[in-house]
Amino acid sequence: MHIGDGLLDLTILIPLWIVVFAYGAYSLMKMRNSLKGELTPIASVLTAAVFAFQMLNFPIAAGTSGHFLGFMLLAILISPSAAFWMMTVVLCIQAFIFADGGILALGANIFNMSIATLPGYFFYWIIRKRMVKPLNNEKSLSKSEVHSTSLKQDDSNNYQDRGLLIGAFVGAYFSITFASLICGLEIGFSSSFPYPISLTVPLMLGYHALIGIGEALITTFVVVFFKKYAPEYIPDIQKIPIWS
Amino acid sequence: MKREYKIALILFGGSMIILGAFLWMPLYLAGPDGLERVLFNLTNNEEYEPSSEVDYTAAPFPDYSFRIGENTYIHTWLIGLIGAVIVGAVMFGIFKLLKIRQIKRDNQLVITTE
Repeated sequence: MHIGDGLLDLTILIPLWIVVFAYGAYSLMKMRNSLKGELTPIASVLTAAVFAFQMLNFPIAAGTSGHFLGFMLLAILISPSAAFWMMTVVLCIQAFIFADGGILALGANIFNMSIATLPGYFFYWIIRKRMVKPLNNEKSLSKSEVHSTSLKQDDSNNYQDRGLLIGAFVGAYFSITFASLICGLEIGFSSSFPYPISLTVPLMLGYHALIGIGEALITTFVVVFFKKYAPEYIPDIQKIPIWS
Repeated sequence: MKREYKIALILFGGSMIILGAFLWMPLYLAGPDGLERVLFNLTNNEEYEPSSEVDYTAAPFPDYSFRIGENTYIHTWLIGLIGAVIVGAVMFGIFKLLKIRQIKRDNQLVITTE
């Protein structure tokens, strides 16, 4: 979904650059407060892994390929504000070193892949938050029943795990769908590309509805890996505000 | 070795193995992605490129390939490795810089309070 130079006109590019700078400053403040020192090597390698996974083009339909985006994975495992900067670094290196995506269009690409994807994180956050609630209720009930406490705790943990995985899958799927919707709107409104949004948006959504499945599967796979081998690095949703 | 470095190493090694395996497998497709397909379909041109004044050939590895010689899957994997190392190193540097600045700021706050 890397937009090249020449596809979007300046009336679209300039506002997107402004939004990216403003959100970048905001997320830098948020990230500075939330990032723990021990997360540095994992967060750096996760960014590198997202870069590598973005190179994997998997077939979807009729000779078309899709590739991983990665924002949701970074947002789930670190935080959305840190994920913004991690994606920005990936996109800058792709544009300047690999000529993947335009340099003038970099603001639009950062916006599409790091800001337009945020609704996906909201879905994830809401699903996890809702799946945590029964644990609290059961905890208060189980105080009177000592024998059944551990069993209920196990059930609650399974319920929470399911919340994490369902949230990751749904969030990742919708993150790419929203990004493609915004991208469709941008190229549809651009005077440099003579096709209206009535054509660009449905086509973008159609292809990315399929690519989203790949995105969701890869994100869930990596989250499962962390859940199994390094669960302490998955942030507790109860402690994370949605605007973190 | 600290646990976080161990996990980071496993994650990096794992992603490089997956990248190598995927590039080698017939599943790998270097065809147009979703956005490119939309542009090709609408313009009825399978090689549509928006006109731009930016010189793409100036990039060190344009389109994930070496400038000299034939590029096989092993070359693409090597470029992936180079890119991943650069991305990881830049991100590590940014995080470290932020941490150093935060520690300095916290120390200043302590001195001021005392």
